[in-house]
Order: sequence, then structure tokens, then C-alpha cells
Amino acid sequence: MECREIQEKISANMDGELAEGERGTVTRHLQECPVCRRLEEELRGIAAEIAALPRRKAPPSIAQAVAREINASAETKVTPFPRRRTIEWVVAAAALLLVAVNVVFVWRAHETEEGKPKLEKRRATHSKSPADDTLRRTDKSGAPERAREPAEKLSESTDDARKTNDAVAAKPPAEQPKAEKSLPPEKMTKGGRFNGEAAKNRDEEPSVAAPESKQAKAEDTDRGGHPAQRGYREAEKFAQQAEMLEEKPKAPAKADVETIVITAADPGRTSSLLIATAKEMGLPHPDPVGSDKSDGAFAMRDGEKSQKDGRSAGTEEVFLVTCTEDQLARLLEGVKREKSAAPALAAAGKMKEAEESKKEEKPLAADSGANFKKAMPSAEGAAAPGAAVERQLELDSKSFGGGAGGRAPGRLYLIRIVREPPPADQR
Amino acid sequence: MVASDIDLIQRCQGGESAAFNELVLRHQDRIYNTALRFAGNAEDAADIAQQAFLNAFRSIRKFKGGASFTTWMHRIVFNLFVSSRRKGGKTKILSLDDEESGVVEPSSEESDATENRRRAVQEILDELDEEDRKIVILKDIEGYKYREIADILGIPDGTVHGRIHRIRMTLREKLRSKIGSREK
Repeated sequence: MECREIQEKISANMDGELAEGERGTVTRHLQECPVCRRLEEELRGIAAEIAALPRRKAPPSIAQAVAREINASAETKVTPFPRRRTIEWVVAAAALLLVAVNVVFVWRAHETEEGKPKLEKRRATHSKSPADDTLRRTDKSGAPERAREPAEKLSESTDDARKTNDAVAAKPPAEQPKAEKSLPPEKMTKGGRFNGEAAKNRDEEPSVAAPESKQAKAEDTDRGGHPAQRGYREAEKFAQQAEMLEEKPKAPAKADVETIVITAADPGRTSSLLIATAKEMGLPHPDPVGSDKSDGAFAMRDGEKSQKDGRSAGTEEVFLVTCTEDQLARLLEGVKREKSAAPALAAAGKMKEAEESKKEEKPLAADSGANFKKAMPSAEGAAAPGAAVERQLELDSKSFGGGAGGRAPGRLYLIRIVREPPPADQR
Repeated sequence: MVASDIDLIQRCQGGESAAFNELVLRHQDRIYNTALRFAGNAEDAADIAQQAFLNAFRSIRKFKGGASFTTWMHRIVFNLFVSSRRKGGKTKILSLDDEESGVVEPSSEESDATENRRRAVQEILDELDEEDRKIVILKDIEGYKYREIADILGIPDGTVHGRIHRIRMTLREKLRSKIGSREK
């Protein structure tokens, strides 16, 4: 190996970076070549002189600053963990609360499905303020849009139902929601219908001359108290609203209210027959809406009285019945059978055909006892003596937004039993 | 018994922050001098050294022990130096013999010739190209292996291998010239 090649390896050799074989070759050459050996000594000297260059002491500020920083970060390191954990706990608690509220909602909705479907149907059909108030409260409390939207639909259906009542008796049944609210849930759930005890409870309710102001007062009371209690009450109201909304699709309140007008010499007796027939058929108890007294004043929930004594001094009895078209026909048929006899049976039997032929008015029957008329609720709806059973499906469709098609199997019928005017010779 | 660097690092990784102070006290002079030779002035060197220790402390959990703590620290110092240069910092070479710089003065017994030679070595070192100076510092002052130098500077091993001899030959020529001119 020539000196030039050796000299290029001298630095690596003195730094101990050569492989074993090269190191031996270089070492042997250096022993034999004085020029290369002198160069190696010279380079070692320079390296040693560089390594021996004076060093400074590090200023104490470095260690102090680092120690300060380390201590500060050690302190801040202790705190972040609890903070993070606290946030995690808060998030977990919020999630738990949310789950709990959802469970309450689902449980209540489930309970309603099992036990008190009629209550919610009745609420959806009759009540004015619960839906309105709930909607109002929902808006105030900033409830989710999802909940608000169905509430508005419910409000619309409630308005429609209110129109029905208005048509029946020029005055809205303002007392009704209050009375329903006062009923114990068990009673409403068990029967799902209006019974004597319930009627008593409703009758015991104070006058509802100013339901809005009382409602407002109740709301004010609700707003008071501990925030947690208020929150619970709000959640409870929201749950009630959810129940109503969940029941709503099942309740044919909006589109399927159809009015049947029965003219009878004795509305009280006919209403008793209606109830009895419904019971025989296994239908839900017809829900008495009200009774029009002979003096003209509309007395709500007075139908029970007529059921007890079998006779009413009123001129009109109004019921709500949820059943199918066939069941309605059989119900009316049963009333007719009890009342007098045959002619009405044919009339009721033909009602289904009339329904299928849609919007086709045709006289179905006439009798001397009770006459049937399927019509829009109106003052004129009270049929004249011997009037035929009629259908006014066009009006029904316009007013309630529903038609023959797309109806639910069970629909809501408003049955008005009106006193037939006395014959002209008896006047 | 003195704890090794690895012991201190493991304690620090276990949450005992005070152990890192021990590492700082143990290595601060070496790190500071390297920073001083890189940066060329005491102020920047102190900043770089301090920041290097802080960075090391914050990243101590990432230290796996593949290299020595000092190698790791020198890599941090080098990165900080490069970063400061990118930000516009300018290396200002100061003689370590400056009385105000706190340099360790040679003993009075040293001959003038030796003192002259030492000054000459310092001068030729300062005159070196920056890249060459780093290699010489890391090799001859810090005593790193070629592989470690390559690791710290982020260059191939062969580059260090080839350049180290060339740099020494340059230093030899410059020193000869400087000493010869002074003797004249």
C-alpha cells in the first residue's frame, strides 16, 4: 500500500475507526515509513491541542432556569389530571342524566300504550289547552324541534276536534281539559273511558270560567321552587307531551271524526241503548261528551245522569265512539233493534256500501223511533222526524282533511242523539 | 453511589422530576461549551443550552436509551443551533481567551510558546468552515465516534469518515502557517 493511501487512513486509524485488517496494515506501514509516522504524530498533536482548548463553566443561570421550569411544570402537571378527570365526570354525569330522562320517557310511553290509549286519544281529540299549553311551554323551554313539530300537528288536530265540538254545540268545551287533568291516572288508564266516578271528579272541579288564567297560575307555580324540581316538572310535562305525540298516529282525531246524528223521541233512553249495545259488542264504552239541556245550556259530561235514571230531560246526547265502520253499523243496528225494529237495520247495513261508494249521498232508512244521519256536525244536522240516514262525506273530507281512503280501521265517531221535534199536531 | 445517567433518566421518566436536575448539573458544562463553540457567543450558547435541557426534559419519556444521554443532548443542541441560524442568528466567533468570557485561564507556568500555540489552535478552529468546525468539535473535543457524529449532524457515516482527515490536514497546514508567521 502506498504512502498516500496510508495517509488517508491515518486519521481513521488514530480515531480507532478502522477495521481490524486495515489497522494492522496501517500500523505496519507507520513502523516502516518515517514520513507517514511523522504526519500521524503531527495530526495527533493537533487533535490533542484542540481537545485541550480551555472550557468555560456553564453559567448558573442555566441550571436555575431549568430547575425553575421543571418545578413549575411539575406543579402544573399535578393539576391537569384532576381537571381532565373532572371534565370526564361531568360528561359522564350528563350522559347518565340524559339516559335516565330517556328511560323515563320510554317507560311512560310504554305504560301509556299498554294502559291508557283512550286517554290520549281523548286528549288529542277534545282537549284544547293541554296541547296548546304544552306547545307553549315547549317553546319557552327551548325543547327540541323534533318535539315541537309534532306538537304543532297535535295542536292542529286539536283545533279540528274543537271545530267539531263547536259545531255540535256552539260553545267550546273549555272545562274538559281541566277535568281530564284532575283525574287520577289509574282511573283514566283502567277504564280508558268516562265513568261515573270520573264524572263525579270532573263535576267536583271548580268552575272553569277562566281556564287560561288558572293555567297561567299553574305555570307560574311550576316555575317556582327549586330549580331541580322545576326541571323535573318540565321533564314530566315533556314526557306527557311525548306520550300524547306517540299516541297521536293511533288516534284518528284529525281526519277521522265523523258525525252520526240520531234523532230520537227520547235521547236519554237512546243513549242508554247505545251504551248497552256497545257493551254487548265489546266496544269501548261510548264516551259521553255532553248533554244539551232543554233550557239550551250546554252541560258537559251530563250524559252519565241520563244513563242512571234512564231518561234525560235534555234534547241532545253526544258520544264519542271509536270503532270500525262495520262495528258502527252493528252498533246502530243494535240500537235500532232495541228501539223499534227493522227499517233501521237495513239502513245501517247499507252504510258500508255508502262508504265504499264514497261521497255519495243517499237516503238509507227512515223510521218512527230513531233516525240516523251521518253528517257534519251542525245545528242543521239534527234531522227532522223521519229523516233518512245521510252521509256528507264531501264536507267531512273538507273539514277534517280526511277521506274514505287511508282511514284507520278504528275511527272516531261523534254520535249525536237529538230529540226529534214533536209532530206538528202535538205542537 | 453515584447514579448513572440511565438511572436518573428512568427516575425522571417515572415522575421524579428532581432527577433531571441532577442530569443538568452533571452535563451542563459540556453542553454549554458545545453550544458556545457552535454559536460562537456566550449569550446564544446559554440560551441554546438552557432550551436544550428543557426540550430534553419535556421529551424525556421518548428517550429509549438507544444512544447516550449526552449524544441525545448534543443532537438537541445542534438542532437548536440550526434553528437559531435559520431565524437569522449570526455566529459571532469570540475568543475563549477573552478575560470577560470567564474562560479557564492557563496556568502561569505554561510557556509562552505553548500559550501561543494554544491561541493559534483556537484561531484556526474558529476560522474553519462551520460544518467542518462542528465535526472537529464533536470528534476532538467531545470525543464522539464517527457514527455518533453522523447521527448528531444527520449526515452519512462515510461523510464524517472522509471529511475528518481532510479537516485535520487543513488545520495542520493553517497551524504551520500561523506558527511560522508568529515565529518570524
